[in-house]
Amino acid sequence: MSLVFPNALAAKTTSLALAKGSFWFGMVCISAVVISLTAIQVDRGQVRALPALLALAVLAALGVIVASRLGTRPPVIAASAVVAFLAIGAYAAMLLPNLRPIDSSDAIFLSLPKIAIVVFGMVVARQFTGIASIVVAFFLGEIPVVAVSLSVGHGYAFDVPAFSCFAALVLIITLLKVSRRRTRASEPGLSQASVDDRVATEEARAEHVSSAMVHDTILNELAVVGTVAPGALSEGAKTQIRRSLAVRRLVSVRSSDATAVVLGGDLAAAVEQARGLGLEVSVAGEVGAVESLHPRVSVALSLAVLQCLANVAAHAGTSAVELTVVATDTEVCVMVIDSGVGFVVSELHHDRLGLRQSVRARIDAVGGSVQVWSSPGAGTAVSMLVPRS
Amino acid sequence: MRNDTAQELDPLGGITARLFAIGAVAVALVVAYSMSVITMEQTDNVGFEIAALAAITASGAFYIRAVSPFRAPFPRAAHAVVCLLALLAVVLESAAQWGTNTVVRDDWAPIALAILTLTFGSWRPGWEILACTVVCALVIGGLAFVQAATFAADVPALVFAVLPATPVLATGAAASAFSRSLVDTLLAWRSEATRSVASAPDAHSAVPSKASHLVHLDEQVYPFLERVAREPELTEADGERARILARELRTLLVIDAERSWLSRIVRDTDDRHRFADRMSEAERGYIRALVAHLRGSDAFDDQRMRLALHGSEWEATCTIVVPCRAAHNPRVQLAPYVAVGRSVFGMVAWNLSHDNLLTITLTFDPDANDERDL
Repeated sequence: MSLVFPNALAAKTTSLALAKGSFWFGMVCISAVVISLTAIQVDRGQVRALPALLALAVLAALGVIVASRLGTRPPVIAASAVVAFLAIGAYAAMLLPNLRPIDSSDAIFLSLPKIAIVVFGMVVARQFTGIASIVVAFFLGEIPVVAVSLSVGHGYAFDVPAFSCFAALVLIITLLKVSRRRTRASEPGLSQASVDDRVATEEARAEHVSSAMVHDTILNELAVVGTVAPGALSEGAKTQIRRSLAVRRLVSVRSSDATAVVLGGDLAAAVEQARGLGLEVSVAGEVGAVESLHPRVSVALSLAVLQCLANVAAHAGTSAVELTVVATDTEVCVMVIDSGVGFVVSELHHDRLGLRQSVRARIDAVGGSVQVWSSPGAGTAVSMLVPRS
Repeated sequence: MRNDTAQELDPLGGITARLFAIGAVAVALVVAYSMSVITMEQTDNVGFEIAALAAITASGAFYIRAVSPFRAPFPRAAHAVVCLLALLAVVLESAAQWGTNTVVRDDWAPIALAILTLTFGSWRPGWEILACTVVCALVIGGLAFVQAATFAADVPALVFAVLPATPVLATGAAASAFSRSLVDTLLAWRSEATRSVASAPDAHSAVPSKASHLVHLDEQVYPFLERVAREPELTEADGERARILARELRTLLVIDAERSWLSRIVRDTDDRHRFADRMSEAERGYIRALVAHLRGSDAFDDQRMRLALHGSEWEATCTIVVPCRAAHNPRVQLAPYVAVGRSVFGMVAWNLSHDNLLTITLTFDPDANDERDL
């Protein structure tokens, strides 16, 4: 997964988040006026605030509409703009006669609904990106209020809060576009690194599989050729060399299955091969559980068991070995136990590729784990735990 | 309550947001200083007014410092400090105008606080912003309510409480909704991205292996074994050749197994305890990106880059050392990488020595990752 959010999605996501924030900004502004007018209505019975409250309710409803799915349709947006124009004009006409003569078109009770209309313009901007909808919204609120204020003799005053909100929103949209280009310039590199890591991880996994494959086949054949006496090579040895060379043709597959083709890929075959090496293998436990494993896990487990048995034959100094299978609902554990010479696990030389690549790397690659218990003179136990699903 | 923040989920977004935080502080201070001059006739105690201006300045300065990408992520304590200092400015401004405040609308401190609050959405969770907003609104509204008798307008005291609290309530609600929306989208993207990686087809067959033992197999071992399988008899020389090839092949297999992913991207890597194999996918991806950036930038001499990993079972550090060319400022180059790194690693530190040697130290928990797939 990428380390950072892709640039391609960042603009849309921020736009959507700004729209949601703007919606609630507008709703709080309208609510504050509604609470204030209601408090005045309750305190001064003679004031007729109800029509003004209805106009505010219309503005709030328009906010809900433009924030909903309907608000993405141009006809709905156009109709909302017309209704907002009429509603704020009606609201100003109902309110201004009740205000003091010194209160003009910038009175706080007029300013807050105008701000609400401006920020609802920001909600619309999520769909039609750009400042156009905010500019239109600003004038939709400003023109009717100023017109009514002038007509009822309250005059015109520049509305600093409403204009500041408008300017801030225009600035936010403009700066977002400019700054994002600069601050998110590193995103492609960070995203590509995640992809590179995934490819490299798979490449390393393929190398481990290939290593284990070569260790289990080609190295054995070289050992045979290097140790037999000069003269005619037995037909059996030649056949084994040809089978191991088949790995070369399967190398592009880079999976445990490729080795399975050459060595046999099930537990029974592994036990049979070990018996062919002269080992007395006693099997106990729920051997059938291995059949329930995913084929890839089953093959990896069987090949790892085969390598453990080969290690016993080569290094343990005993021919007796126990193979125990324990299964739970989620995991299968196979243990290979011998009572041979043993070794100090921490002192195992790093070039012991059998345990490292053919056992541990294989089991790790299928999501399992390996534990080794051994001490000189006390034998060795190798536990391989693999997931069932 | 969800504690995820947009900055933690998208550290690059935090860098964009910092520009807005700086802008908001600048606007808040311009509003504070200009309005304190304009409304000077309402000020009774200049000392309190100066203290209020000092408090809002301190709040803004602390805020800009705390949202630096080099200190990411912006913590809850820093949010509280910024709000408390701004709230202190509100209280001090009220004290400065106590008994002489005639117009509640031109009080600058609640507006400055509202401007700062507007930008919190990128840094903190929605519920926290909302909780902080309610507390601030109650203080602002409460102060205005008890001063209601001195205001010129003839409206109920409740109106004086509601109107000055409205800016901070509006910006707080907006910032909270902004934060929730961003976090929801980022979490949905993460979940989708994780699912698509998990369901991606197995790349085993598609990846060409570059291991040196494979080259040796193709050029030496396979031709030899093919010849042996064809020939009727083995010679003394064949036996000797087989032993040499086996020794060489085993050595190459060990070398390939020893090479970590990190030593493949930076040749001069010291990782004798193989901590690189215990990094998470995100940690590996980050180091790849950082190394690629250091390589691609003119500011650094990538030919002399060195990596070293040391540590214990509980904590490991990856140290990257690279010479910095004198004409460049590495701070600008590194800002986005430090911000992202702080969301991936336990700790990210960097230092530029007097001889222009840049050292980046990344600290991680080697036991935190179960995956040992390399």
